[in-house]
Amino acid sequence: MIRANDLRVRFGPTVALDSVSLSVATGEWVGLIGPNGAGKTTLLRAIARMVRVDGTVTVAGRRSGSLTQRQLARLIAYVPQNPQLPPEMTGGDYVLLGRTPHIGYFQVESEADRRICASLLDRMALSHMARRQLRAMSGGEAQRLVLARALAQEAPILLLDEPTSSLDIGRRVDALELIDELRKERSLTVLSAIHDLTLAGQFADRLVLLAAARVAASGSPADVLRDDLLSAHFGAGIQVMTTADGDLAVISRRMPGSARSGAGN
Amino acid sequence: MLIFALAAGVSIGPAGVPLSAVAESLLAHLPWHPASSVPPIDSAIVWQIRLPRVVLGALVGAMLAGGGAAYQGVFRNPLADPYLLGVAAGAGLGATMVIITGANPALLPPAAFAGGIGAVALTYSLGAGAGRHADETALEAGRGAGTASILLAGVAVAALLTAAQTYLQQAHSQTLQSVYAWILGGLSGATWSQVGLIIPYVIAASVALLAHRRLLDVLRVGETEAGSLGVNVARLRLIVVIAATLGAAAAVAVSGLIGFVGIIVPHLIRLTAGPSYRVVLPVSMIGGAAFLVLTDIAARTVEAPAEIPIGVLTAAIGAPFFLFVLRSRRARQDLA
Repeated sequence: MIRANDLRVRFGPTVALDSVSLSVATGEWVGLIGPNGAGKTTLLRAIARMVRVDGTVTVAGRRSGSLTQRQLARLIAYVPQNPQLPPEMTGGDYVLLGRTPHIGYFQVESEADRRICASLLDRMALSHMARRQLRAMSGGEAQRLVLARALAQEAPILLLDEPTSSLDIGRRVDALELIDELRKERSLTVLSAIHDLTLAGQFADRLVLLAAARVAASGSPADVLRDDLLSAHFGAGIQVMTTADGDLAVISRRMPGSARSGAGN
Repeated sequence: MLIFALAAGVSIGPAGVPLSAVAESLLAHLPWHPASSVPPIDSAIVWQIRLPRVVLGALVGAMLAGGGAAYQGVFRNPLADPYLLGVAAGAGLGATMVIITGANPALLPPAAFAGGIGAVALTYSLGAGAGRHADETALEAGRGAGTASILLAGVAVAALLTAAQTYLQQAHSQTLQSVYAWILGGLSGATWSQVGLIIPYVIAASVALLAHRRLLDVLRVGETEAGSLGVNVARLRLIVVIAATLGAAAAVAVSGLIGFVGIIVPHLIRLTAGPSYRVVLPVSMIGGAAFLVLTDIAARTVEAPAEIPIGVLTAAIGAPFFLFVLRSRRARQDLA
């Protein structure tokens, strides 16, 4: 569904992506992990055509560069890490923005567009937000609302940049479970950057580890979530344990004698 | 509101004409009109003097207010306005050139438009450039170019263009009187030919702006996200800026420099009808028309029989209002 080949992105003298290739099959959930600044967001934005990129991106069999902005928005829905939420906009109007790629230049929303959005709000347990302003929302509601807007695009591909970073651990699991359910309901293809390595291993079918603008490892969670690999790239002592359920749990270890754990006077 | 303002505008003046007479003399211009009992003098006042003035005022007000709302949407800056962005000064420079060279008055709108579009391009590039370092994170978050740097650039561009315009005006003293009268801003010499002169521009600008009002709402989530929702942001910005400038420049070409309408009216509309451009843009046009017609009534009655230049009145209302908006915005930390 997504095929990226030899992507290179530079910001001035900084190399943000260096010869990164990746493919995501239809219906698959691929998690992007890696230390801060490794290029996770840049890779997502390169695939969404939001940054200038060398290399080729193919989306649903078509060269991304040959698509108009509208065509691309019908194929890819992108959820940024810190979405802008105009405080005075209502939840209903915000979700309607997602219909933009389906509304003609001189047209306004049709009854069908409104129905789609109303049922999405209902699906996300946000019906009460339809007429309320965004300023009145909790973090979890905001996160589901942005997801609802993305789903209103009815695009087969969902790109998520740290979808759960602002949520507490309970809401994180809720949010990822919801994304997983929606993926199965609508056979979505999901590519997401996830900070939390344990959650990444639990939810993604496949992980891609980015480090220093390159792909350092990719494969099943068991292949990528390894003590040595993670410790080398995250620069900290990291241990991967197997829980009683058979999940992988990634925890950090404090290393006695390192600079940060000096004598405590 | 607009209908009331229009009716009052036609009726009120040095020679009072009752509303019934206004209605009759208007009907007299329709085919198959009823027999008119209005004295010919009143009918002439209504048809030749009051009505073109009111219609022109409504068109100018609609363009200034609609243009202000559109600039605010596309620059994502609550204080953008044809006057403050330097558009009016640029249009004034263009129009002055036409007047001093004694060229055909039909060239006024295109010359004003050329000056206006040049000014807005200069303001935006200077403002975006000067504010780049401070605003890089803001731009990254899709927050648009910083409010303060755009406004400062607009002040500088307006000052520069006004200086150029003043120089031209002084250097051609034989036309000083007509240029000066034009700058002060006013609808006192309004004629049907002026209405005819700007109406094509007004229609083109209105259609283009109204067609994009939904996309201006999409832009409220920032340029990056609007792009991911399928909006071609660069094209949207270009079309809206050109349309708003076209309308504002046409207004300036016939009425001179009338400031602050583009700030006062859209903000009042937002306070009452909410921030959605789907509502703000069309209602600002109607409200702007009513506002300017009413202001013009005040301008010609307060010190009757003398007239106060209408630009003086809008500035007297608008400048305090501008400070009020600036303060309330700063309180909400929207200012760069």
